[in-house]
Amino acid sequence: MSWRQRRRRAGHARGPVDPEDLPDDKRRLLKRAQRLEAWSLAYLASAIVVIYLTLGASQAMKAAWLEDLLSLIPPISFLVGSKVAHRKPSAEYPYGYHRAVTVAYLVGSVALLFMGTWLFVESALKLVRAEYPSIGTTQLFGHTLWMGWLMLAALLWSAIPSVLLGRAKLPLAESLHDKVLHADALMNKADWLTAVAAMLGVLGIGMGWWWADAVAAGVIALDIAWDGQRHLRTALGDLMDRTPRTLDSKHAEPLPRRIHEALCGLDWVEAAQVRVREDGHVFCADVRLVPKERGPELVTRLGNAAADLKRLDWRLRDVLLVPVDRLG
Amino acid sequence: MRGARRVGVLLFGWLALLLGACGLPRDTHGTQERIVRDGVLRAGLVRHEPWTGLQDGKPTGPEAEAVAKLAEQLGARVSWTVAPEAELMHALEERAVDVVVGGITAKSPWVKQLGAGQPYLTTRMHVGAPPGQTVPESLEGASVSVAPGSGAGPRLQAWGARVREVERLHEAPGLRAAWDWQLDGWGYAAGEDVLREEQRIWVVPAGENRWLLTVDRFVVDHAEPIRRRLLASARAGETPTAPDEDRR
Repeated sequence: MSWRQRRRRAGHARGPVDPEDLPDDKRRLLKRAQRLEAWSLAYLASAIVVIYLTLGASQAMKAAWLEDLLSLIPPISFLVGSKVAHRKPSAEYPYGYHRAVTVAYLVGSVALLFMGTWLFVESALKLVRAEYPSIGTTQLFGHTLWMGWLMLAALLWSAIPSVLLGRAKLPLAESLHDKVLHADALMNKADWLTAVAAMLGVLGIGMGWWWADAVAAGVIALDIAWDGQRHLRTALGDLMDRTPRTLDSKHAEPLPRRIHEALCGLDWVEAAQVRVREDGHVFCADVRLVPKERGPELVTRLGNAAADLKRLDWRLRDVLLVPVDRLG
Repeated sequence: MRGARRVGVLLFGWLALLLGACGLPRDTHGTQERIVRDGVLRAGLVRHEPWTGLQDGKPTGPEAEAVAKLAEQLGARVSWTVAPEAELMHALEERAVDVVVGGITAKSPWVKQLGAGQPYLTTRMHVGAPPGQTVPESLEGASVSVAPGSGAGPRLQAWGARVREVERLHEAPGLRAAWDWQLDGWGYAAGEDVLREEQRIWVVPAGENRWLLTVDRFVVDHAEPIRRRLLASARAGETPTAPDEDRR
């Protein structure tokens, strides 16, 4: 099958995607983000191969390699998630597919946490057992070269483009309100630290400090595990319908307050109670409100209010307004 | 923030250059310095003819001679320990010897925890045909001579060959299963199929990366002479069978 045909088929398969799902400008950004992630995948694959070829007996190299391998998860989740998440709700999945992103996020974070922990234990054991790493030589253009130099070159390749990709992705993640993309951008940006740690490990071996390698690997492992637990907590929070927070999880999302204020500003509303949950990268609001009067115009008012609320924020997908006698 | 990162990268770059200038890699226990300072290279020898052997109590064989040459280059003499491979690997772990030789293969189970040198020579075992003949495409029913206890025997039998174990392989008529350097030495034409492949290495203690680099550079440069000496020993009709057999 030619590339063009495959493209057409992919376009066809995207038929059930909700055209109203994203505003036009956001859809352009999404396209850009998808392109960036595809590039990331290709680049990561190259970095993984290059590091694997120079792996040797260095634990720090192994840690850096594993880190690169694990950083494949966010781009893949993003690419798969962005295809799946924007599908229209179906009879089978009446709430749509937005949570697919959260599921991917959960799986990825568990992988990070476990691999990080395992790698940390392994590195610690190497320190305790005082294992001396040997880095041998290889033939390059007819010269016998210390493998350490190749390792350093491979690590440089795994660091520099990664930082640039991360910096390009970060603003996209913010304007698309996409957690996976955000996590990926941060991981990429922090990747140079991993590479520097591994480089120090390799240079340490070169200096004859046998412990430097295991220490560097331990630091990288801790970093991986730390990322894992952070993302795991965010993913669990999302699945538990925790009050939405901003992308970096540092502040409360102002949207619920804004919805509440907008409703209380209406002259026919006496009181309102707002709950907002996050479905992947979109919000759904459940509102219970006490109307001042309950004439025949109430239904129209509710409908208008819901439409107005949706205009507050493009991420607000669903607004459910329930009139009640009093708030419980 | 951005400025701090740039400074960090620059500092790291300078550090790397600085380190690069002062002769990486280094040994964790200064093996190479010690050899040069004390003028003694402690070498372990596994008897494995024709790679290494003993003649009148003196180490011989191409690898033993290469070790002597390496010591000479470093201005040292060789202090030999002759022992089985397992014993010498243990000695390497404890840093009681500096290098172990004797046709050791990269598959040896001990070398992973030690400083395995670069495979300097890959040897393959084939079925070879006498000069002027070729190895038949199918060995079904063909008679092939092998050295006693050679792993090639059962494999050839599985292919349907009639295997004959002979003490003096270099005098056996017809097809012979032997290493590539033996076949070359006899003027035999090697068949396509590889019965066994081994990468030969020298082994040093773990973490002695400068010493490992020195050994690797030396042994890669001397791969050809070592192979030539193996070939000559095959031509001279020495058959490496049981290593402890005294042929003289």
